[in-house]
Amino acid sequence: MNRVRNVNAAGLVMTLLLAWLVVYPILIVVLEAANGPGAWSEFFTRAGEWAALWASVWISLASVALAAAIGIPLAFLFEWFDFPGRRTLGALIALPVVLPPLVGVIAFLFLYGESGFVTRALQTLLGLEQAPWRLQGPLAILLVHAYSMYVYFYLFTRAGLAKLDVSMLEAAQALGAGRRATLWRVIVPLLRPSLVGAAILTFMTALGSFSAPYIFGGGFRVMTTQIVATKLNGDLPLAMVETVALAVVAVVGLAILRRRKATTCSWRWGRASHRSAGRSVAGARGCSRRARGGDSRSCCCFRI
Amino acid sequence: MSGFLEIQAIEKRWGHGVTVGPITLDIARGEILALLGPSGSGKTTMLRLLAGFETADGGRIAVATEDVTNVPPARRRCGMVFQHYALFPHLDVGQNVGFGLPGSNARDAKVTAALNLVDLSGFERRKVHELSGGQQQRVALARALAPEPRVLLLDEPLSNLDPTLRERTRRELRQLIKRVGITTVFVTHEQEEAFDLGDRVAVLNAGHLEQTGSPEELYEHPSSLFVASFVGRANVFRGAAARALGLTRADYVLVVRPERLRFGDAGLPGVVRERRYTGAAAFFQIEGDDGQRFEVLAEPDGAQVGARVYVEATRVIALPDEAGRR
Repeated sequence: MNRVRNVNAAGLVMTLLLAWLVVYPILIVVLEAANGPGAWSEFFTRAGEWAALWASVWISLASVALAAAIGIPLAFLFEWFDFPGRRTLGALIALPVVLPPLVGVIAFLFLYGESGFVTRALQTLLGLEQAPWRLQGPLAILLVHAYSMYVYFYLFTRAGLAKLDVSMLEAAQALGAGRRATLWRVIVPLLRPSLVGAAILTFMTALGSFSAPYIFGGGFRVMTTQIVATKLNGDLPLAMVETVALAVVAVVGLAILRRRKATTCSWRWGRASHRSAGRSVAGARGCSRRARGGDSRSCCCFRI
Repeated sequence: MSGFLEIQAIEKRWGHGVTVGPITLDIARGEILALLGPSGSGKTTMLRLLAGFETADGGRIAVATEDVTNVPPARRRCGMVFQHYALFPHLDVGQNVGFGLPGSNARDAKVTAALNLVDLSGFERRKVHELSGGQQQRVALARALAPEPRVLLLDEPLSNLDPTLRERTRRELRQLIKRVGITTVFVTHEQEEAFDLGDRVAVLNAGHLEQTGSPEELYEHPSSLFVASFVGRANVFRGAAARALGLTRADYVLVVRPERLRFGDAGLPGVVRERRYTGAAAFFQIEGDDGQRFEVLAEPDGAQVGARVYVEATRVIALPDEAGRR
């Protein structure tokens, strides 16, 4: 009885905490935005607002694509192949996830900014009068995003690969599927929930990213920098409307991606216990590593 | 004799001195061969060598006279059923079965035919996770058979099923394989399964082939103490007890199956220590005068616990004493 009472009390405390920390700020923003009808019309009629919103969307989508392009191959490399220093390098590669976003941005500035270490070194080496590049605008933002966000794809994909049942890959091979066919017909569909999860996280982080666009954006505005600029100009109602607009984009994006994840996950939940009974690719890699002692040709996970 | 599937001195060396082989086996067209052995005996490695998932360090594998030793699994045309079936959870039953079939008009017909073969007609659109263990096993079999492979490989195919279902599935599986007429190699660590399903049984121990033969040959004429003890129940007699049962050579042991021992008026003396009733018969554990314990399979009322009995052997197998050699 006491236990039930304690659980109920804990539930109530958590609900109040959530209401205070999450619901209340959202409510305030929405109410503030609703109180300024002029701000809404201003938001809808000003081209700069739409441009910033669109910039946020496409920068986020491009960040997802770039982060995937870097993180997924790295995950395959570090999960499936064995080479000297793999473990240490694998841990270092995941480092951006523990760094605050601003640290990454400042590191980029110190290395590749106009007065950055690498930029200056190259300028001196090539005898150039000016810096060889200007780290500014959307490309610079994308570069920083790709650096700081590939780690989501890297970690999610590695976790997905570690859980893959090697016998499914072998089954595909036994059924005549080559390396490419196995990748596209078996591995990618099985990894889809992990990939969608990484995409959601990357998209949301990129959408809310402030430090990279603020420092490297130059004249290029995304919604987060636009909100701060509007607030600094003293137009708080418009800033609230901009915040709501960005939140709406985030919620829509989340809903689309989560729906995609839900459809790909339905079979996973049904098979979780069965899959765990099988051997994982990580286990198979252990097998090939064991084999390395006596046979360097042996690779039991992907011999096609 | 040259078989349809020829395994000639095939060998696989792992690190730390662990070796499987060299093993030589010939398997006739349409034959079912069971690879039987304890854990770590190398039976799964053998199956994986046949499938092409492991590279052989020596020897040769040929299917229908074609050397496939270095042919990758995708082009080896060996159907394989995995221990946990390895069905693709993102595909439905029909897509799973059709996975190895080329995209053509005949594909659907072949999928239907394969599902008919395993009594799963109309299951094409079912999700894999909706099926029972037995149904999943049959889908895995249909998937392996659909591309019409030359050899069927089964890795402990019944180990995931409950005992009642396993016995029935074993019979059905044998009937199906015989109906298709495909050359089959399967791995098991259960003697009953190997005897029921296989035409011949190859017993492996510590990476080496101990003996190959029909179930009856293995049971009645084991070539080593390991085979005698691993295949069926066996009482191993040494010393005075062995001599009392007729053994003359000192470096040999006597193996007697429990059903080949009977209570009599004379013979090996002992005391009944335990009785395990199994229905039609009972196992009596006897402690001989020299302290050796052995089992007698006799009628349930053959003896009482605590009674002094004399045991005679109706058939004995004399084998070199492997423990003595070590």
